[in-house]
Amino acid sequence: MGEFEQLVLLAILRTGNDAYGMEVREEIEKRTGRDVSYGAVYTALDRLATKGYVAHRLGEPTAERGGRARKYFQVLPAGREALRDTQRALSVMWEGVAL
Amino acid sequence: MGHGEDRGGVPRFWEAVLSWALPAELRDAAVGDAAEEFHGRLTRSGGRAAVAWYRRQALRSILPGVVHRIRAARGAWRETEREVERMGAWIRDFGLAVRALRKRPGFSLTVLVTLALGVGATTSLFGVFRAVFLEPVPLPDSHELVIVMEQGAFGCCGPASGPDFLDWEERNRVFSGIALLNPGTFTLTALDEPQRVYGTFVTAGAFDMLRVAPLMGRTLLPEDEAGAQVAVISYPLWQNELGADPDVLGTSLELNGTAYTVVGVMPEGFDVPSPWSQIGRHRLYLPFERTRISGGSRGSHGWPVVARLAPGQTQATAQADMDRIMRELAQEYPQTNGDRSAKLFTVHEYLFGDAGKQLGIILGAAGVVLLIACGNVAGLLLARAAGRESELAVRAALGASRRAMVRLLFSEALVLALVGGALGLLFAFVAVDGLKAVLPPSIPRIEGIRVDGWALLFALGASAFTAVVFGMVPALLASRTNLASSVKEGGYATLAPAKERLRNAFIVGQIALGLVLANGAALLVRSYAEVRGQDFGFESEGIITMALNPAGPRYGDDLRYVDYYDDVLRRVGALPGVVSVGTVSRLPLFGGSNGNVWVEGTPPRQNGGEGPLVEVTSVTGDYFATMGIPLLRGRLLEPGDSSSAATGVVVNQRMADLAWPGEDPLGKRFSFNDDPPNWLTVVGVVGNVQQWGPEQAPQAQLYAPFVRGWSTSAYLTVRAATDLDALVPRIREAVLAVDPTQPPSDVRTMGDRMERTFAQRRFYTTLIALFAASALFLAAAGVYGTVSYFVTRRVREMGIRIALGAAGTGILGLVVRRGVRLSFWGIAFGLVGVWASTRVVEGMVFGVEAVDLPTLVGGCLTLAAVAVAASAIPAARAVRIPPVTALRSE
Repeated sequence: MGEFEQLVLLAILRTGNDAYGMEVREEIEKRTGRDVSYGAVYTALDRLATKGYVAHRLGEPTAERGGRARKYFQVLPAGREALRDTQRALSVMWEGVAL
Repeated sequence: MGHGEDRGGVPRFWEAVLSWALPAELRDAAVGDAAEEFHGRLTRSGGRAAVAWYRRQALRSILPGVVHRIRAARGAWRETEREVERMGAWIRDFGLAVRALRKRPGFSLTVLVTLALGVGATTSLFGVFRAVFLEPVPLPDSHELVIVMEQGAFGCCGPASGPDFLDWEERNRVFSGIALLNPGTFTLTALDEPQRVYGTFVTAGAFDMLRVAPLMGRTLLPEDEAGAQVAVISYPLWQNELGADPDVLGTSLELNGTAYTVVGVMPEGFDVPSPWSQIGRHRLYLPFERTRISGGSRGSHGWPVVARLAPGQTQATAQADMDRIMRELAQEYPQTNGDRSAKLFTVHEYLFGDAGKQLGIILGAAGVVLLIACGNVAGLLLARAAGRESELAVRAALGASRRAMVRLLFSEALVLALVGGALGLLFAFVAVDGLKAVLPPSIPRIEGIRVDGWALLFALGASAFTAVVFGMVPALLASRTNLASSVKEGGYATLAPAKERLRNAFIVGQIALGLVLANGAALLVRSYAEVRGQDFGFESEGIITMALNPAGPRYGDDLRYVDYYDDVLRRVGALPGVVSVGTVSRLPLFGGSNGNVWVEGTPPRQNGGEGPLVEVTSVTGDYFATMGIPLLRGRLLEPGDSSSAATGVVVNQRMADLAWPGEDPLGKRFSFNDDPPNWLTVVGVVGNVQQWGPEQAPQAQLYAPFVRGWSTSAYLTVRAATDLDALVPRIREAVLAVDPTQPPSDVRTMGDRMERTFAQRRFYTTLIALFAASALFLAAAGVYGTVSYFVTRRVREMGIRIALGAAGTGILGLVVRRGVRLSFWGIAFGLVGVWASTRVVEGMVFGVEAVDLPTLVGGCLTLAAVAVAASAIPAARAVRIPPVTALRSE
């Protein structure tokens, strides 16, 4: 799992595991200070969905959004498991390393 | 700001860029998010900053978008590669299969022709079946349409009375719409030449109920039912009689002397279903006056009812509701409704029930032919597999898996099935055109018959079925090769017991199916001959008939039509070449109307339903001489009988036998009414006529002059000594000379009418006979092919036996005995099949038993002979071959 994908999963979890794209983007931007594009967020979400790490439900469309419905994303158990694996691998590798 | 404003200020170009960069599935949500955030920024930091932010979003999304697309493409390619790998093995096997089949053109051609015949025949008939039966009514949701009939003491079923209809309309809880019809023939006099057109008065709700909008103008409205003289016309009437006049709306049509304004034209194919005519026969629709409906007598039943089931209702629930209403009416009006009930039919079953059943039988016959064809192919494939055992054994020895061998054999079957199916489809296209030409006109919707996507699917399914079932079984069996024995035998072909049994089963099955079909077909042919060969009680040759239906204000009262008929008879009778002329209310074989009579001297009746049921026919002129109906006793009707005071009638022999058995019927009296009786006196007895059709025995019948007022419409019958075709225009002129507004219609020779009556039966018979012939041919070819193939394969064995001193006749006897044994079992199973099929056949035959012994014996002998010949001919050839040649044959 790539770094950005991890960021996306964590952003969803941080916002109560029910976040739509704008919240995910803002969460990453707010906490990392990186300028994040919708293209990057959504291609990552698409990949994560293909892997079975996230699922989404449809929200209400509003006029402000040009009549387009929100999609709220949730991290599935498989996604949590993958996150945990990555974190474990990283912490094992970091052990005894000082930069 | 133009279009930008429509989307709340989101820059359109950058939105398009962003949209392109996003994965298709999530595109909408993402663009929505961006728009939402854009609006937030718009209020927080102003338009310029928001647009700049949006542009940056779009630009920065391009790279992830491109990467995403490349990844997706790479994934798809990898998937394809794996697919191609899997396909490869199959493609290789197909190539092998095609090559192998081309190496044996005789074998391949036999299989292909067999399959093409089977698939083609079934597919073309499926086309007929689908057009005629599966899609018979070209109206939206036509399966919801029902015809509501009434039945009384006489039995099922007749039309409704006006007051009953109004109560149904008001009280029912099951119909979303209900309509009353009063169909009839109208004289259309607005045109160059007066014409008769069939149309119907109909309640205005019919059009909404049928869910069809007019092509032009409007349909009938409830306010039209107050007596508006408006007409909605059908597409054919508009196209043909009215010359497709684009300004037809608002023009006036003169119908039966009354002017009607055209207010609408219905689209092509529309019609109000009626129990009395096929879809498409009504040419115009006139509003049914409410006062006429409510003013009718509750006891007088003459108008058919069509309704649409409301959502959620079924035929059964609707029937239950109608039963409830009829029970209420029986209590409220015991005089007229005491013994009446209602019965629902779906329009489909009412109009096409019989045709559907017969077509189903034909489709079944076609299916049998397909099965036999499949059996043939399977037998041939099995035989071929047996001949290849050593090849398969070698493949197995070289390490080919059983799966691979099945795939190889199955590929061959599949190639054959697909090519055979394609040929069959071609055959079907040709056959459908041929069928359209020979189908009797009584079959509805002939023009709709075609080989369409469904028929295509059917053909494909039939071919695939053949390949899978009849290709897979031999393939599985053949692949179960015993390596050692096959290689050791050096290619000597024998069958393992399982395969031997299977092959025998195919032969037995083919013989059995062929026998069932042959029996059915022979019965139908004999039955047809029986129907045609009957004495119907009249002569049909040399007679012209045409319908007269004097209508309009001139013929409204005082039996004016009687004078009209007399004038017509006088003028037509004077034409040169006319031998005799008469009129009759209903032509023989074409139905009639009847009532129960009270015979004088028998106890008075309790109610009108008792006493012999008698056909009532009105005649004038020399009707009996014209139709060749013999006078048996007394005299015929004379002009003196045509006064209202006279009571003389002629009865047929059947009525004389029924009412006065063993007595002289002349001078005897009977009556239709009880109180007071309207006595009729028998003055003569004539021969019986089959009034109700070729398959109905003659009924008791009476002939009375038209002056009794029992019928206003008539058929003119003219016996001519000259060419009938040349005489028709002159008769027409003579009729129009009496009254130019009353044209004759439905002009045909009696012979032509008979042909049409028999056309349907002839069609079914011909078709089934064709199927039986092809089934027998295929079965014979299959049996011959399979048996002789195996006998030929054993030439070497026979050679050895003869070399060792066996007598040729002994071997011949052995082989022939096997053939006889197989045909014995085939015939045994076939007889069981015949027994099982009798119930189906019984409904279709006339005058012959469902099991016909001569037919059956003939069929058995033929098939047995084929089986024996198939064994004997190649065996005889084999024993004549010098043993040395036989031994070298491998």
